[in-house]
Amino acid sequence: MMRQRGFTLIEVLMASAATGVVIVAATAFMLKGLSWYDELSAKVEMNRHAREAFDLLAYGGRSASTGKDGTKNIYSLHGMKAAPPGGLRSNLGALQYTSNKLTLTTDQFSTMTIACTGAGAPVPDCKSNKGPGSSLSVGGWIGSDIKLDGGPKSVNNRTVAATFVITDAFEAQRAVAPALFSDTYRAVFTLNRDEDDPH
Amino acid sequence: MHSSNSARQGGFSLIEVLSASMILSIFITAIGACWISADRQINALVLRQKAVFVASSEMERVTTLYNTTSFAQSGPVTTTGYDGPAYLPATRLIYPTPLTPYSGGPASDFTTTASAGFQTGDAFQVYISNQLLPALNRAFVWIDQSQGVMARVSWTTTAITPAACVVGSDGCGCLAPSGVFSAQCQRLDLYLEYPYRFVAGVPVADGTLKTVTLSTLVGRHT
Repeated sequence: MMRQRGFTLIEVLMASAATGVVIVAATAFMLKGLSWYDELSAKVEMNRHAREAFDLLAYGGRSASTGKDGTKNIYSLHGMKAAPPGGLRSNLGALQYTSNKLTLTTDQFSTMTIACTGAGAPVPDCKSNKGPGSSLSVGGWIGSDIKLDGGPKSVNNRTVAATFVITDAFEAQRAVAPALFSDTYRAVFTLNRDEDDPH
Repeated sequence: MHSSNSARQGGFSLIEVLSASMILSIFITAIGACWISADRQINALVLRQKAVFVASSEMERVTTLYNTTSFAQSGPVTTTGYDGPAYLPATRLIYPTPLTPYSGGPASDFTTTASAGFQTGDAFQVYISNQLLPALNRAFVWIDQSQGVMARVSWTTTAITPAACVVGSDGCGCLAPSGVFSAQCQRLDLYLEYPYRFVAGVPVADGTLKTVTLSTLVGRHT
């Protein structure tokens, strides 16, 4: 009869240690993989919404109106005769032309409440982690007021420089590094372009 | 029966366990590498999106200059020595520095600079790296200022022949830079090459350059 030889204690301990190392590494990779997945998904979405915001600034407002109310020149940055003096955004994140209260809501999601952890964190609009401004109600992807510069760098007073921030508020509020979920985009638009104002 | 069962109870040897662990580790590392690769691809996609925005922006500025000022007559500076793919021209136009007002424009149409202040300056400034050697003259703009990523902007113009329409008819025709009706618009091809990094005040190509190309027609409007 063959002798039933089992594992020695050393063999079992070494195999366990080796397997443990692999399991720990696998777990770390999986957790990192989930984190990466969230980050990649957010970047794809932010990129898409940046494109959307760009199109809304350039053309969207025009198509959001019937164009029959006698104010056809203010429906998009391309159609404006001058840069609006205020920011372009509603308090819920949808684009809004403060000059005519035209609100574009295609980039909205369900309104959610963000608990601020400090100035600019986890989303750019946060003011402080206590008192007024410590809690925000957000419903869109526009992270802060769209800045318009129609000043001295405007070409012949015919262009306006627009800077906008796209934020994934849902991911930002649960992220260790919330800055990953806000990104700044810049573009220049020509005002009052003939093709945007057909006669 | 008892004897044959005992013979099968060999279990795994230490070598077998370690080999399996090693194979599993390689597998996990490969998955990690895939994630890192995906991360890079997405970052490249986001950067390209920003580059397209910048290219569109530069096209807006250049076309407005061509369409509403006499910039086309005396503004652009010819530069040579572009070493991109063969189908891209080696000689192109860039902004002059400084860009003085053209044809009744305001005191500063917009700002160009050749100083290191560009690093912390306005995102919409144009940085001219060198005005001494045409082959080294290049105009740069920010793609992502927070990440220090820049792009090189240039363009070419070609007179469109034959004329596309009857001279002077309504809604048709283009003014020459001099302001005379010529009915000969220009085809403008704009090139934006990226990524560059601003290192010690000098833009340095960061790996293989990619080019965004946009085209439009320009000519002064009446």
